[in-house]
Amino acid sequence: MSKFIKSLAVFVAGLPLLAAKAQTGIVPSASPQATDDTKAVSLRPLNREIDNLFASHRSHSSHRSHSSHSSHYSGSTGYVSPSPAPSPYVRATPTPYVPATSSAIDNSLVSPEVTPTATPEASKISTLSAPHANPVKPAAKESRDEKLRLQVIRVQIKLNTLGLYTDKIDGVFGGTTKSALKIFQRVRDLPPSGQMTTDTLNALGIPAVN
Amino acid sequence: MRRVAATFDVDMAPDVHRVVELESIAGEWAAELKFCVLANSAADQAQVRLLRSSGLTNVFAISGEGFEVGDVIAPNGQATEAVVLFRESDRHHALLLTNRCNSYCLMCSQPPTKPDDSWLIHQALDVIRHIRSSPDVLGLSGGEPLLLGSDLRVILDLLAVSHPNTRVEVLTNGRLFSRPDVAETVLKNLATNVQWLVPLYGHADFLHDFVVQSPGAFDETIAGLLALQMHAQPIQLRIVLIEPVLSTLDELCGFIGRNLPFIRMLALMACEPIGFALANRQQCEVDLADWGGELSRAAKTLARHQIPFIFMNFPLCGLPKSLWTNAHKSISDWKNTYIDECNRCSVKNDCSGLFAWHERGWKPTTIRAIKEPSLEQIH
Repeated sequence: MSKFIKSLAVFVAGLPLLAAKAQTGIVPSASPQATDDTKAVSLRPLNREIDNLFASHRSHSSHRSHSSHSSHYSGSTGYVSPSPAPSPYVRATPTPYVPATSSAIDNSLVSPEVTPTATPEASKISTLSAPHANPVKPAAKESRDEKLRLQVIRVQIKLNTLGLYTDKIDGVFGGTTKSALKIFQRVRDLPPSGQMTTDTLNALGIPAVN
Repeated sequence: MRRVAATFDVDMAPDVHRVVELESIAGEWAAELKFCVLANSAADQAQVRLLRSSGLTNVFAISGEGFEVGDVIAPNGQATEAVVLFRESDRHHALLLTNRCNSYCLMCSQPPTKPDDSWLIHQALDVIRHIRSSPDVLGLSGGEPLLLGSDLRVILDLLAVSHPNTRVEVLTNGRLFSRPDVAETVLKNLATNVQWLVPLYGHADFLHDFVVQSPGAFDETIAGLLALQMHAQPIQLRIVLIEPVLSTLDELCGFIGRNLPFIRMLALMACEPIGFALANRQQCEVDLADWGGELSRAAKTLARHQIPFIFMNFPLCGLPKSLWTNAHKSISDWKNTYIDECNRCSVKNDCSGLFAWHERGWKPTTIRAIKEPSLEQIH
């Protein structure tokens, strides 16, 4: 370990003769940095129909017009974020999904002055907060099959912890997974389709992989 | 760095893991991550074993009182404890990228070591991948992060992808940015939102070089600052207030105002009484209250040049009252403490307090309770 030179005079005496100095110029000042605002937490169901790539039925567009779906923001159906704490599932709305009139819940948890500014900023983010994103490679470009496999694995994990599924957790959507899903759907009063519908995912508390 | 007592259900590799609850593992699971499920009951531990035997090889049970959901941890030593590398509820977040350094500062709080510690780079990348909820600000510290070269860029690029809303702060002496190849590699087309925190200790080369004990450092740091400005990167200058720096503080602030007017912020920091500062006590130990005149003069100079400035690690009782509005509660949660005298103080809640290790070193000033209106009432 080298020693310190604790006296300025000794330090200077030890310096070699100095080489020519680099020319330094003054560059115009930059604008001051904006301060961080407290971020609003948006209330919405865990997954919307458009998030769910693997609902196993094609009628997404017609589904969106179902009147039952417009009530998600009220919190009467579907999944509502349990607390305003930051969570990877709570994601600012990427598409204009803002209700025309703010409900009581909106007003109580989302400060009105923050909401409008937060939306355009957040619209740039198109994936989940991306702990799953592939390192360094810009944006996770997983294939549809890989996404499906991940979603099935997550469903299998949940069904396993609920005691409904004891088979291999392998990401293969087979008969045992399907029948376990049906049991879950019956218990939760959902149509027992055995498919990973959006309502089922919301009831399971699993964010759709997209 | 927090160490927390822990029990694992199997022998653990010292890899990075995310702490989750059993209820949330389904929603967070991903093949490329590793998980420690908080399981304090035998039933929960059995459930985790069941998941693992069903094919989830990256899920382990952990029990212990000191963990929070979302923690990013690494099992340590004999796996009876874990190091918490990232905690969502902390006010300050930082990742250590290396412990090597090309300077040897008189008051270094974290004395550099020489051995190759590139495993820290991989650990940092893993931590970034395992963070569940992007922090507002994430510090990257060392050692000297620029010694990583292109690996630093890999880390910054990963942050831009994984946590696009996070503001990154890199603590660097900036010296290696005097090399165009390093500046180009790290800074060209950088998409990450970075602020560079660079120390400067003198308005003359020998003053700065003396404090960092490295001839030539001043010229390199100045060249590095200009390289940062050329790449349109925001800079915060940092001045640690030890005796040789305080003696010439006003001149240094004038130098900055004249020659480096583009910096975003100047942080004037009380010295952390740990590391090399303990070895160089004569140069580093000051009672800040004795230097109120110099601080006020420097503040005036900075105001004249319109350089925004803050005081960090400053107990309010060590700072002239006119400068209180520039004081910043800056000491990380896990290092922060107050003493008995502080409990009688009316401005304790606005005060940065003390470093936890002041007892082994010294207090930045004689702590005295202030019985006056609080900061809010002054504003």
